[in-house]
Amino acid sequence: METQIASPAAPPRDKPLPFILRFFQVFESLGVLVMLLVLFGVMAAIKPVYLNVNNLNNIVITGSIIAVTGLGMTIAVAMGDLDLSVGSNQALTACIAADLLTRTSMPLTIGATLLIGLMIGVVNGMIISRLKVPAFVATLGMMSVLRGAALLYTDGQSILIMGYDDFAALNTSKVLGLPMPFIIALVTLLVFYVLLRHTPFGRHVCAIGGNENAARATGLRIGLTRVIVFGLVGMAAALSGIMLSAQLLFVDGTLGKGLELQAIAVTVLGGTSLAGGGGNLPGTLLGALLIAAINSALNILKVPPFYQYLALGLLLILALTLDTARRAVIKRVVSGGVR
Amino acid sequence: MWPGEPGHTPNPTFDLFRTDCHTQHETSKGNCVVEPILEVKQITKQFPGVLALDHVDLELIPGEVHALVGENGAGKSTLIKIIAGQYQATSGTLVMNGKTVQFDNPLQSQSAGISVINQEFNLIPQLSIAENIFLGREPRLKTGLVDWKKMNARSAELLAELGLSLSPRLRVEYLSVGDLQLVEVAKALSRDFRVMIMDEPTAALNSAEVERLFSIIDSLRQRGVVVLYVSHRLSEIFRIADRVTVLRDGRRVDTRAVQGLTENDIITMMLGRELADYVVEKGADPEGRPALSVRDLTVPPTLRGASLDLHYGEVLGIAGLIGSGRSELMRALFGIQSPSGGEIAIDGKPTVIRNAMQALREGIFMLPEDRKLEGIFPDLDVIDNLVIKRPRYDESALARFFLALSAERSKYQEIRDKLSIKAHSRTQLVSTLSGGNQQKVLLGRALVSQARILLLNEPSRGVDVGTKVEIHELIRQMAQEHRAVIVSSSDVPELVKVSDRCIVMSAGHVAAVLEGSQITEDNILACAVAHKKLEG
Amino acid sequence: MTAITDASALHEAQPRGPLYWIQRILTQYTIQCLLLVVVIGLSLTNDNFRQEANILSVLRQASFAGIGAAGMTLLIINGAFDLSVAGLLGLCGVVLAQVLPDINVLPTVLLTVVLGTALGVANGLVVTKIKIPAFIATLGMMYVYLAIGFIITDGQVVPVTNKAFRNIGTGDFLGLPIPFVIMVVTYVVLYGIMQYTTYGRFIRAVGSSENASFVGGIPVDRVKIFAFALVGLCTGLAAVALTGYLSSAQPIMAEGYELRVIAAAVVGGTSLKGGSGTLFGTFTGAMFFTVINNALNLFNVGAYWQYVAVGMIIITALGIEALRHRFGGVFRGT
Repeated sequence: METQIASPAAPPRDKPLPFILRFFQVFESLGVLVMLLVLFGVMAAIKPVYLNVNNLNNIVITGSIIAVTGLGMTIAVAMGDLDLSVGSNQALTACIAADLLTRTSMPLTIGATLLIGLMIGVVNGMIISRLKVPAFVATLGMMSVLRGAALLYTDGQSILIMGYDDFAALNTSKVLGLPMPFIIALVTLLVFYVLLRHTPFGRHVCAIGGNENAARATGLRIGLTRVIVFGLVGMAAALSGIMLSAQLLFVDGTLGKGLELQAIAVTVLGGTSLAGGGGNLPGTLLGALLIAAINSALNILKVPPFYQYLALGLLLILALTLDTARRAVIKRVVSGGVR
Repeated sequence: MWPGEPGHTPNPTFDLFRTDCHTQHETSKGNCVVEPILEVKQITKQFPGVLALDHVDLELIPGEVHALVGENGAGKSTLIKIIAGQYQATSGTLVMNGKTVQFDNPLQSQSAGISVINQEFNLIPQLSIAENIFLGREPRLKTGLVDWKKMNARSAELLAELGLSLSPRLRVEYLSVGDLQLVEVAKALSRDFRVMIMDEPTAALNSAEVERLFSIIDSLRQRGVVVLYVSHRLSEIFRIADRVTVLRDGRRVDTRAVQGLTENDIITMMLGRELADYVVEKGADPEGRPALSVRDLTVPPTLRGASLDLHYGEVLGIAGLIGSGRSELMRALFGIQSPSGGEIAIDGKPTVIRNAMQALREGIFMLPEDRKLEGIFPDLDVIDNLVIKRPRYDESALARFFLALSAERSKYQEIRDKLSIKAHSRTQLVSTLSGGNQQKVLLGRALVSQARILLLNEPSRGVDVGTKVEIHELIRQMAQEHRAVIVSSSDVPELVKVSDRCIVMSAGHVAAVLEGSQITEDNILACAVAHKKLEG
Repeated sequence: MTAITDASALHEAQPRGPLYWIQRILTQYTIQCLLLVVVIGLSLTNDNFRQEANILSVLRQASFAGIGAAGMTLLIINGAFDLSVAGLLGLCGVVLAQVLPDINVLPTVLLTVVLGTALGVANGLVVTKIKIPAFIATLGMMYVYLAIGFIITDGQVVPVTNKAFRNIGTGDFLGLPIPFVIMVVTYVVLYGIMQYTTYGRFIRAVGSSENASFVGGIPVDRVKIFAFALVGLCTGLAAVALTGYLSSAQPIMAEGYELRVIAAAVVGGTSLKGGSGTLFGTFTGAMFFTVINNALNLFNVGAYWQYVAVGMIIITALGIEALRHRFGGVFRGT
């Protein structure tokens, strides 16, 4: 029962945010878009082949696969946690999907793989909330466990996916002219967006990320929320595992190394603060596309593949530097201007 | 108009609660036979090694404001947390409306009609005001999604009731401390409740906000709600409470009607003994070159140009409400907040202080405002906490790299004896000491630092009455030893007791400098508030 | 509540029977007791385990992670992590393998240690000056180091042929493996730093409360950089030992190294919140992991299971630690 205060009290005097803060809020998601456009501009000038349909298609597909993991990670970051096990999770689920495909129907394969991803995430969540192990170390431990599991599952061998055209279509088919993986990423984005921004559950996730003690004192079910969030992260990683095996059609237990870094990087690039309390999901999708675009550009420029590591590392540090600077400016504006 | 202001007619919109007793005002004075809403019966709480509450009883009658007082560690917080469902009692029962209840978590307590305003804010900085108010109880659409329209509209109404002109969509991280406290109140009011617990609600409020809060409490009382009011400030209790319960060492000393009591009565109950009078010698006249001379020091946005002179051998009090620039002044003098303008001269020599390290080298020491957050190192033992920055400027860099353990030990013994710090070994973790002893360790750092200029923030905050007296004597003694001491405090009687001169800050300026017999509680409060009004 | 945590006062009040001491040893030296039990158990059940050669091999194996874990312990006590150590070690390894043919052994070792320290300082600067959370900044730096290592070697394995240098990894000194000797010396020196130097105390202070350090006039940034530098130094030493042992170097030679050193520290009882932890615990933790791996090998369990074992041990150790905090009263016998 809620207290009714249906009063003829004065209407709320709305005090809009000052312009500069609104500007920064917009910049949070537009910053990465600007970087993306600049990259396309530069590449169009020096290597026009970069902009051909095939290459763009590849960028979008690769980006979408990273994005799906990143979207899950964004929710974990909104709750103030990280999941470092997504890479191993992706490897294990990709192998399981490839293996199940030879044994059963495709819908069952997808369903079972997603369920396994969910279970992995739930285990993560249980370890963190029940055993009170800090998320970052718990998932670091799980990263090792799941990597071992993936290698054991495949016995160190590769699995070749041949003759499953409907499975490969998950990667190659198009809807409304857009690659299927991109559609999957968009649907994931939409679902997660509504979940995070417009359901009580999502608001509780942000509340826990913002101030866990306050959330506990308010009586939110922190343990349950955390288990669900990690379940979602695990499921998203499994979905990206399925997408990856459909793309590669050739999987083994060493897939997905460094994916946790990519997922965190796209989250931060997209304007989500590692401090927790909120998540910019559209930004994450853009961040993933940016990373895919950079990797593709390096490939086209015939830069050795290990420079991609360098680019990723530097980009992450750059994104975090910008985030720090942005928050410093906001703080100065707030303390100097608003109040 | 706010209910409770002069000429107020009962506001129908605030009529949320069925009143069982129509003569609340008589009841609240303690002579009505109304059924209590909440009874605490023989509650005991045992922590490992500590008996926090020992068979405590408490009865809360509809329409009363019930004050709960006691020294730190008397068990007030524990009792509140048990009622709020944050702790579970070891034994004893809670009876609500005649029925025994058990609260395993805060939600159960809330749904039983208990609303708590905690001392620490339970707000989420990144969420909007409305989201914070309705956190965990968001109004939903049929689809299960959050009903933003309804949530924002209701929040706006609540904020208007409290006289806050803020958009409910504003993120909480942009609010001032006073606003945060009022949002907490709005959050509590938004629930259906019969019992409202307020733990030190005025700590962060300015006087106007305190008045507003008191009128809210008044109107709650008229609606037959119980307010359990916890405060260190006895004057507030005399102002609004009907009855008072005093706790000491986990036991209830007594519950009495406030009318007819004096402050001394309550202090005697809290202490278990008469408060002995003590005389402090006031120091010498400020003469000669000032130890510290400040001109037009500015720290945006709060400190807008403050000037003062501080002499050796004197205690200079600084009074001022929250937001008056008092703490910014202290932090700027210690170099941990950078001023945008103004001059600081030490012993007549202009100096720019860039950080705490340099301040210490210049002979300035600051006691931080918040002991837990900025004072102690909880994982370090007592001796490490005391000697962490022992000045060794005359030694070589290599010698400084190594610790001088024996010198530290003798220093520790000297200070421990001088301040009578109660620790059973020097390797005891500082976090296991009582608050008063932790504060003494921090004051001991001032002596270790050999600083000539001491900036003491809230030197006796959160310590018991006995330790408070010792600390005041220590401050006077430090001045007599020819140090220059500034005491910045929100505890006005403290300033009256220890200062030779007293500066009153208001709206970022020095509003008044009081000397000798001018230093009275009334004068200080008048200067702090009056100037504020002039500033608008 | 100030009074609940008064554990030492409780100990004072308890009668000190043998039960009390057993309890106290078990709670304070859990990992040491566990290691003892495992070692005794293995010695009794497996003939190969108690062979002198096997024991010495365990000591040698334990040193590689153990040396790095010493520095990491100080950093965790300081309240930070360094996830870049695998990349840092790889980079140090390939640089030393590249320069070794041209200069002598001793200058190479010195150069490697200086390089490691410098990279540690670089990590510290990124964390303190750009103000990026340590674990994420160092995660980025790991890929930077890895990439530089690849660029230097062009993706090739660099062989080490110098006999004297290989002896550092494979040889013995006074009957003990040289890496183990390096490890012991490292622990003794770092213990000295923590106990007898100003910066050692500052490391603990900053980890305990950064705000209080700032207000108390402790040079917080310098202390953090110092701690990162120590991690770099220890990792550089580990690079020397490991490159000598493997007789070759490549950027990914230490894959998963960060996991193993953090695991050793954490299993050894170092609190992830900062402020508390012991080098003795980490030393035992490093031994513990190696013994477990050795046992898995002796019982012919596949290599992939070692991933699983390491992960499970970390989670279990932290889980037990957390439970011990929660039910502290039970363990304290109150």
